[in-house]
Amino acid sequence: MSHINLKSSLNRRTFLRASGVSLALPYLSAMLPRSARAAASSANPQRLAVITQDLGVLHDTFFPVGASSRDYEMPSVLAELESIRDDITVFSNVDHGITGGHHAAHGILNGVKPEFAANSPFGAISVDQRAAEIVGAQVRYSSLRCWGSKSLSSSYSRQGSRLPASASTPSELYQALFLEGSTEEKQRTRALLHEGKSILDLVSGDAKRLARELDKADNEKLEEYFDSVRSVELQLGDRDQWLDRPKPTCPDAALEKMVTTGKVDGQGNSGNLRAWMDLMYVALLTDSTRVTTTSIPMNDGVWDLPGVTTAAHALSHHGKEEWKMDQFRTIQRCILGEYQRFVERLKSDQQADGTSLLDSTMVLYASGLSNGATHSNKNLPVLLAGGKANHGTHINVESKQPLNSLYLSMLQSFDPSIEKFNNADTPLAGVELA
Amino acid sequence: MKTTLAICLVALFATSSGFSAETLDEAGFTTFLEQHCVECHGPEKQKGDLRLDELPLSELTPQQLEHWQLAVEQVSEFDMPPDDDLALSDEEIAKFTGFLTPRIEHELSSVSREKVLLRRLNKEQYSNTVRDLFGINITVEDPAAPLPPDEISEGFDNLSSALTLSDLHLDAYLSAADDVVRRWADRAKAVPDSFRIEAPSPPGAKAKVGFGRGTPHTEDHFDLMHSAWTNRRFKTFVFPAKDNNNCLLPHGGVYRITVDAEAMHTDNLEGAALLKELNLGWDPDPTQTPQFGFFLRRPSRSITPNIDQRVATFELEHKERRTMTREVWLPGGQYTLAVNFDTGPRFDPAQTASRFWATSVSDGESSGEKFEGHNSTAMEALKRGHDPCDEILNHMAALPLPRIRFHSIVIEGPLDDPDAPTTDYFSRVDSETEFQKKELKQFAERAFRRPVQDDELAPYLAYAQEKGYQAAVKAILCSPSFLYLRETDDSLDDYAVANRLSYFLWNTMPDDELFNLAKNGSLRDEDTLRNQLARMLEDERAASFIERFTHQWLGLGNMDDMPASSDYTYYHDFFVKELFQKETGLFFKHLLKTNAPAKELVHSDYTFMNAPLARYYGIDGVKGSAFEKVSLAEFPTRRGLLGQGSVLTTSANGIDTSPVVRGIWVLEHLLGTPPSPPPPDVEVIEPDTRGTQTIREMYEVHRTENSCNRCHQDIDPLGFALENFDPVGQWREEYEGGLEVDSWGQMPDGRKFDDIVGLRQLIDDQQVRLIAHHLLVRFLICATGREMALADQKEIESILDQSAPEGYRLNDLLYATITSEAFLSK
Repeated sequence: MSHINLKSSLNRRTFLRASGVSLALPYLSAMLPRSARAAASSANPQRLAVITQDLGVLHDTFFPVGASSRDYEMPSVLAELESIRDDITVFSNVDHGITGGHHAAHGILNGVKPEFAANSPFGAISVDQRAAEIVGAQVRYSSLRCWGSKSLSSSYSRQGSRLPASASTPSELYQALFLEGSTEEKQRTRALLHEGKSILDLVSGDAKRLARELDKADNEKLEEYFDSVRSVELQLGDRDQWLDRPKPTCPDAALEKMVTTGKVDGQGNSGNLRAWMDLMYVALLTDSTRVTTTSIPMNDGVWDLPGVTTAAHALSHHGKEEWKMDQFRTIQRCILGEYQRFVERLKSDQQADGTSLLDSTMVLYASGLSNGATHSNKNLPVLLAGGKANHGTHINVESKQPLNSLYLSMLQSFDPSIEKFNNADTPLAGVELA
Repeated sequence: MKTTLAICLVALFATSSGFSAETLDEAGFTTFLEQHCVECHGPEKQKGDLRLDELPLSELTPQQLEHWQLAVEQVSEFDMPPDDDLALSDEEIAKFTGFLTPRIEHELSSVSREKVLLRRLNKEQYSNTVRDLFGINITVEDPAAPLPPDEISEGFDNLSSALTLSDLHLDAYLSAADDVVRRWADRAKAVPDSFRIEAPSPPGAKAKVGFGRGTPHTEDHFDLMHSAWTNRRFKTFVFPAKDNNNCLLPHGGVYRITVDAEAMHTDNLEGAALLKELNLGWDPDPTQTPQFGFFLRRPSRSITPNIDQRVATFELEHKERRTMTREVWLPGGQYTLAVNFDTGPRFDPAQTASRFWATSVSDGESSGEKFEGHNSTAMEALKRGHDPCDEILNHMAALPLPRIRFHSIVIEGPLDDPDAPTTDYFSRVDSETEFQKKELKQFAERAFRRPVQDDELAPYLAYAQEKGYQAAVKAILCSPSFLYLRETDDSLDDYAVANRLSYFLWNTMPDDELFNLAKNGSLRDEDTLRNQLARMLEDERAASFIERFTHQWLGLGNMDDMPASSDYTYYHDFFVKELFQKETGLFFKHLLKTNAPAKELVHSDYTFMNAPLARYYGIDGVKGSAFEKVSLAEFPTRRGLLGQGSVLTTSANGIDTSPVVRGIWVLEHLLGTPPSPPPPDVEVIEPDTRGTQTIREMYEVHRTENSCNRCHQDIDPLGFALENFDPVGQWREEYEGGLEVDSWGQMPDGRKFDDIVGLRQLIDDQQVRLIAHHLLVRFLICATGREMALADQKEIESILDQSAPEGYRLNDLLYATITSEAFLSK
């Protein structure tokens, strides 16, 4: 994937815009996921874990004050991360330059407001899905999307579709990761995969016939169909291969026990967050996936935390009332606490080459809303841990570069030849990730 | 593009008003720009991304044309130049617009119409279409569930430019096709009356039921004492029993549910008081009809959210015992069926038991006495190592608490299915070429919704002969001819018109009548279209249009995206959100049916309610759960859309209200004139609800700062008028902190009003035209699947001009939509 021809498609779109024709951007076959066949798997490959939330933070409890520095003071809630201070970078004054409150918050991983995702001139793929394209079928699941209320995530496909969560409950994801299906189920799956392939052969022939009747603009639209056929053909083949490879056993006995005793599903928010993060950890540890995202939904009721009596969204509208701000801080502490635990677990895991899993896993925390009380999307809370970066710093971003510049830097850890990510074409100044 | 049409309206007003003042020549126009505009919209600054000095006057691109239209609008509305001391005289304005308007008109006439692109069926259309193709149920099991959500553009989910098709979709289409065909084949296999289950289960019964927690039962009956809506989980009557968890219904089909049930203590205030002591917040409503329902829950396997689906609803009078039946569609496969006391106290049995426990143990003196006796049984349960929940609940059952007592429930079926496919479809394979050809062609023509040529069918036929009929049907469901609406000619052929009509008004494929009209080539006749519009609106499939159109036009989705705070218990306990949606849907349907003028949208002195909604609004005299037309003669605050809970809730955020957000809602969704976004560097005012400052004080800067005031003079007054409605649409005189609601306002033209009733009276003909304009544009967008653009402006204005004398009647606008050039052309 050395050359992604975004430039030429951008030109085409610009041309179409100017001529008054609005047209969804067909994605080029050159952009299709790189399949396992083409990729040589390296010893300690790059990984990405993402945690997003949608309600923002109380600024004075999260953002360090002052210019970029290693010697920064952690405000009260951020101080939850004191023990991993040297493993994280905390950013301030970075955002996507978009506005729109809660709705725009869903664009945290791609920098695009949801209503423009399908027609974004520079594309609307989210950073995790872009990374998943690079990983492709080297692992069983190119990406795993966790939690996501109403089965939605913060992840977007290249075409701008908001992706459903990979599983609706933790136990369902556990099943996908560790439980083998029965022989009959496998046979049925295989038969369907083969039938799918033959159906795709047939319908793509039909589509070619249809193409002759359509005008140019419709043919460009139909290109989406042809691209999808090619992509699904590859995916069906990949799934066919993975069907025979045994699944790993779960390396986390406590998690396994939670699942087998039926306690893992239906927990309160804090238990639920723990379960999803544990699943992210074991999925990375067993190399079942290399890209995984947990999207904490904003409307999931009252958190089951001591002293919390009101739903998180209502607390974010604190109206400067102390008790509401206090409860809101408790929730934010819980989320950062889970982030800290997750990073610690990755750090403690020794790989064969002596490095830890954290050394090859970037762990991003980001909120698409900066301040729930004002519904501001400016100055977003962003943290990064892991990977090859030299952490331990507060970076006050003064370059006016979009958050996608940071994501571009992160993607370059997966593939140094990537030159652009959505609206970013230079990596974020002051951040060395490669 | 959104603002364009309103702009054009002004442009045309300017021409028709026929200023006779001498106009400018090009040199004079350039001088005018230099004197009045270029300082902010020239080489130095380009405020609002607008530069006028280099903007050409002929051979304009659509964007350049929009810029000139914007200039005309702003100048003739006195919005530009912005400062009072720079204001133009009427004569100057007339010269400016007189110069530009004919040029804009000329350019408009040469703009070519935008075309609808190859349009994918959206998720709902896919489901409805397979429902009609195969006669399968989609409300309980939605075959489109694996599809990603559709992209929304212009508020609608059916715009060809936004609906993409990706690998994710195609993969989901493959599995959905398999699912659909399997369920269709299942219909052929179902054996009528092969299944029966009874609760309480008689001894020796093959199929047994189990009871969830909090369901006290004997051999003769069982009681439901709560509504288990928390987490949408039902742990009441569980079917099949836990230890019998294999699929009990071998095939999907229509089953008969017979219940012998009794409403006990449902109007008992003593029971309510007891529950109150447990702090359950249960507020009994003697006017409410006791109701229970059956729900289906599938094991969580797919990525679909695990929400129980209602399959049947029953009602009783208080103290009444009655036997009732319902015939409902139930899927085959593995799932549980639960029954819930919908209007019962809403609590989680296990949680309540522990609260009950805590109350009586810690508070032994007072309430503990009332619950005397359970302590010992619960203690014994604990000693035996059991969870005391069941013991406590059994104890609660002995108290006079509200419940539905079930003397028996019988589920039997499937009922005979005369339209089931014959087994011929599935058994014959290669030799029966003629049969397959005939059947497959018939199927393909319905699935592609147009005639199919033999050569087009040939590959599918060959596939059927090789892999069987079912496989070929699956392939057809993945073909682009099924998945897209195909419109090849500029002037649509009759089949394409049939498809546009049915996907607009029914959100599904055409029926036989539409196909026949298309076949005869008579569908485009105006009389035919008028008759079809009337027929289609009467059909039950039109419910989908009413629901999704009002939803998308008014942006009601925000009620789901920003759910109301759980503090609004009545709102949640009585499913008020659903009642709101129903009210607005029935209201809109009534306006269409009676061909009401557009002003009724804001002024109507009636709406639709049932008892719980009327109670919520504080209106007496409405009985029962069925909706009826209710006069608002005595309730002027509730008149029109601006008095309806749906609008008032969606324009808040579930937590608090903001005059700015509500004002923008009115401008955007009702008048169709959304304000421009705030300047990028503006800091939003952080609300302060500690009661030290009124909302008006907080937003004072919007009035005092000229740069804020330019837009906020239009926005804020509209929102303040709605401040008497709380975030969930209930009337309030004061805020939570005790401050009084202050709902007066002043329109930009100086007219003042005291409250919502006063504001409504200020809505004049010009605003009604805006409302009608916006509605018509929404109709056209939804009907064609594309945005309206410059080339459509003329037709839109001409429709409005024609319907103006009658006051823009709604059904006339809808008829004008389906007979418009925009609708009948690609």
